[in-house]
Amino acid sequence: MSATPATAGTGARGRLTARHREWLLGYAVIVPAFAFVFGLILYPAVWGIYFAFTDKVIGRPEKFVGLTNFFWVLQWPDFGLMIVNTVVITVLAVGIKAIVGMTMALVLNEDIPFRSAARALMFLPWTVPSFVAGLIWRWLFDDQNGLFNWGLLNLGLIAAPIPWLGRPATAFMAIVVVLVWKGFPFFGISYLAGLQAISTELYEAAQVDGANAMQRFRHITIPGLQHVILITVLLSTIWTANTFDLPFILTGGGPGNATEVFTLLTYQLGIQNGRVGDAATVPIMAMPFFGALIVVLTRYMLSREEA
Amino acid sequence: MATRVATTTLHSQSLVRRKQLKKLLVSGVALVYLFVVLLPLYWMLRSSISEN
Repeated sequence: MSATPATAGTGARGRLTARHREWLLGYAVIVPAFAFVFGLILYPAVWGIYFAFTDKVIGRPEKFVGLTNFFWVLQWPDFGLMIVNTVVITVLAVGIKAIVGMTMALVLNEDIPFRSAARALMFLPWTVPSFVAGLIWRWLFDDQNGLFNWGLLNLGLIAAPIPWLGRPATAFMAIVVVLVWKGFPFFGISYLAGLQAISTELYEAAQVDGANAMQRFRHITIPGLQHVILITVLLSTIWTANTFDLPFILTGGGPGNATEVFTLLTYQLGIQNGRVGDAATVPIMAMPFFGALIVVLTRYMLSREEA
Repeated sequence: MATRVATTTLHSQSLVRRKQLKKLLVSGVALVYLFVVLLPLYWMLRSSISEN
């Protein structure tokens, strides 16, 4: 009878038992992950929460001020506008991304020419760094040298260049357009993976029963994808609401404060004005919302694992 | 009998036409999406290899 792992390491090979060696190996393996989580996420997060309750300004020692920062931020003139902008941009962008992603998945699930190439190409925007995407689109929207104005002027559709990023409504829509362009492949690829898991027999049976395309989509595709839809929408809501780079590059919150979102206000307070305490307060105020989303997402994913 | 054959033929013709229409629509949407996705990337590539 051969030695079991628990007894194999005892005796001649050293004082540590196999179980102890396994424990050590386990701890050694999780140390990098723990150091990463602690050093890059937990440590800054705890300092951020602490600073939200202080009057910390760069270059000066902080003093505990309780909830003063929270009242100060709430009385910020454009605080309401900033919340509305963040919510509207997030809802519009995530909604459009979900719809466009769904059509992308349905199209790429069909037998079209060069399907593999089309799948790879449509995934490209997701792989482009946000900063690069922002720069490309800022140029496309440029009122003097931008492609859109050039095209519209040459087609005779407009008489004068449109300052896309200089008007509140168009600047707002420009941010949504770029967020959708950058984010819809994530939805598309996720839905495509979900679609391929749905049995074709269900569609064939429904077709035999006389269900039309819309009925098949509503009663087979949507229920089959509901878990994927929920997870993608929740994740994308968190990512989109936390977006900083695209609004920063495209409009910087302007014109005026028309496209100001909470990440931009944090940047202005913390980096431009050096008011670390006030800057830390803004994302802390958004934390309950994101916390609730994360709890829903985690519970849902765990419940799926157990089922 | 002749009526049934004619009906079946019409039905299959309609199915073929519907399939063709669907293929056209799907290919059209794919092309539009590819255009929207690739246009900014083409512009980025063009700008990165041009002088100005």
